[in-house]
Amino acid sequence: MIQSASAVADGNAGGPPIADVKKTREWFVTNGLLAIIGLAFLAPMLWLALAAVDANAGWALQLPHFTLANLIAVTRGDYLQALLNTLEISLVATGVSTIAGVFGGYALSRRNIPLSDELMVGVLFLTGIPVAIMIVPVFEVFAKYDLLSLVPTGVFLGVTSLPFALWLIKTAIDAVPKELEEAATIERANILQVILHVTVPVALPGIFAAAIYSFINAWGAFLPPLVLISDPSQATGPLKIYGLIGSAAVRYGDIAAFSIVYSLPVVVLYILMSRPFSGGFSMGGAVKG
Amino acid sequence: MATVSIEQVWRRFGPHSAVADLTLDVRDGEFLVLLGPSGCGKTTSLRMLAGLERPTSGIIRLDDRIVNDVPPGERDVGMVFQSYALYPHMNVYRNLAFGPRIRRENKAETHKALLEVSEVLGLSALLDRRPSELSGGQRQRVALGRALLRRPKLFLMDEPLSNLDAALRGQVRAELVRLHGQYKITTVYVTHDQVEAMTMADKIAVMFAGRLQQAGTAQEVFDNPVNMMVATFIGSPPMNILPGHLSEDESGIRIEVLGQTLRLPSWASIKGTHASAQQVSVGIRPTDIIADTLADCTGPRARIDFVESMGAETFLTLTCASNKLICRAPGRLRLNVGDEVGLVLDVNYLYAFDYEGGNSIIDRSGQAGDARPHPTKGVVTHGTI
Repeated sequence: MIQSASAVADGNAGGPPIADVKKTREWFVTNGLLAIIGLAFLAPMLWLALAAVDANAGWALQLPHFTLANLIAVTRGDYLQALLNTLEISLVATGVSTIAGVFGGYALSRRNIPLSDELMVGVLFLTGIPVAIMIVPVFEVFAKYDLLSLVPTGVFLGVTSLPFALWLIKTAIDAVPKELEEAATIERANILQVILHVTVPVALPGIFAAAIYSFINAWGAFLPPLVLISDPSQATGPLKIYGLIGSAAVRYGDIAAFSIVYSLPVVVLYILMSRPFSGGFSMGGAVKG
Repeated sequence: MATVSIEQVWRRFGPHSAVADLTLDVRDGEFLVLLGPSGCGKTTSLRMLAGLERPTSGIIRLDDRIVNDVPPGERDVGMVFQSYALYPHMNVYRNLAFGPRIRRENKAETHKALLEVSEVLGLSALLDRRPSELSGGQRQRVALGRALLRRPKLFLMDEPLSNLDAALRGQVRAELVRLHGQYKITTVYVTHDQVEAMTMADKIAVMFAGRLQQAGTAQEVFDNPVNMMVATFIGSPPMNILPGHLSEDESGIRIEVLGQTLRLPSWASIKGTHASAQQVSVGIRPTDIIADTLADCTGPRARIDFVESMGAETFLTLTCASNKLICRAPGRLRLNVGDEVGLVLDVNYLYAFDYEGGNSIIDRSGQAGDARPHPTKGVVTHGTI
């Protein structure tokens, strides 16, 4: 009995493992497809990197005649102004949404506000409304009150990112133990001191994430500046790129170089933001650890 | 330095009363422990003293000043939270200096006081550490230091030892008693741990279900509990409660329990309103029963169900006349499950509670201090039939 059983087992072991063949084929198909998709994403990036340092860049992917002239050109004059304009509206937008988000988030987190949960859900749903729908009435208002310039546009962009910022900040403040604030209250801190010295520093990772989100949102905004900014000298980065494409002779080298310079701050901020998002918030030591 | 007076304070959350009709005084420099199981309203009471919670009705006085509407910061209290509530983004120094900085106190003086307090608490070497880099005991001391630095009139502590391990707990307990002796600050301390209460308190206030049951020294609460709840909550293992019958005649009070009739000492009397003959719940602490292996014991006999050896002493779970009870026996006794022992109950520490309400029936005010030696085998001469 035992002998025959082992003989059967040996017979099977000699042949090729059928499951493995199937697996190998699957591996090739899956990874081949992924590689093709990956290339489709990679090619424009590669073009950007190569064209930016190519003296006679064209629309095609080609080996560059190396030069730094493109990069130098896009950090001067109009280009530099466009970057500074973008920075201005982004900082205004970040300030508006973060400051309003902190105080709004604190009130929604700590105070007994009737229907506050419904309010938060409402805020979340309203973020789904595209900016394009609002832009015409907003333009009418801005035009009527002579607000078609950088700072009001920044404020508008800040308001569009406020709902998400509010959610991020409220959630971060929810996680701050109440005892911390009570301990500060007992030390005779007033409500503003409690918020500034205790709540905000402890919720800082979440607030920071909201600020970065607002900044990136405004930095990359195209439609609102296009509609709301009338003076060409106030054009922001995306408008500048748009203008380059529209001109008679497309200057591919400048487009590529400017796009790289323009996207650098966002890349840096994304890297910074990935930490609080992935790591979660550490309350170590605040409460029983 | 302050006195606290709480008068008929209620705190309701909707239909639920977290604190019901609390009246309690704390003398200047006293160490009061609010003791009770979780959810009994002791923390709510403490938070009302701190000003973090408003009483629904009633009056709270701090030094004869009504503080019901005084915000926490103006009450001059120091509080240690159960979770310590250290600011995680500040190092120990800045945690300690936070209050003085907020109150814009003189920086040089703060620095001096801070160094002094951290010296007393052994925190000097830890001043530039963050709370996350400290052990539980160290965090606890920082929280204590933060409250101490304020030189508060009133010290409030909410289960400050519950997050520490057992060994550390004993150490910090001693430290707290020492600090209280040194600074003499009126302290209200909340705990559910009777050992903490017994060892630290000048006065214990026992709370159940939002109501104050009894306030008194540790010994009073232990020896003369007003009702069955207090009696069974304090003492470990808890007091045995057995069905019994109480009667009184010209020769004194008799209690029938475990099939035996015991006569109480002559100081005992029945409290005013209680009937002279009735069914009662008889209470006796495990430490006031002697289990005797001697064959000539005249008391009730019991069978051992379970033996818990603690080394120096042994706790026996017994069945006697179909009642379960726990009793203490000396350690190193060779007792086995299933053995029979004779029981001797110490009539000086026999309690009787109202069968329905659970209130104490026997008036023990005439009981003198305890002169008897520690109960050991064969020493007790009273308590026979």
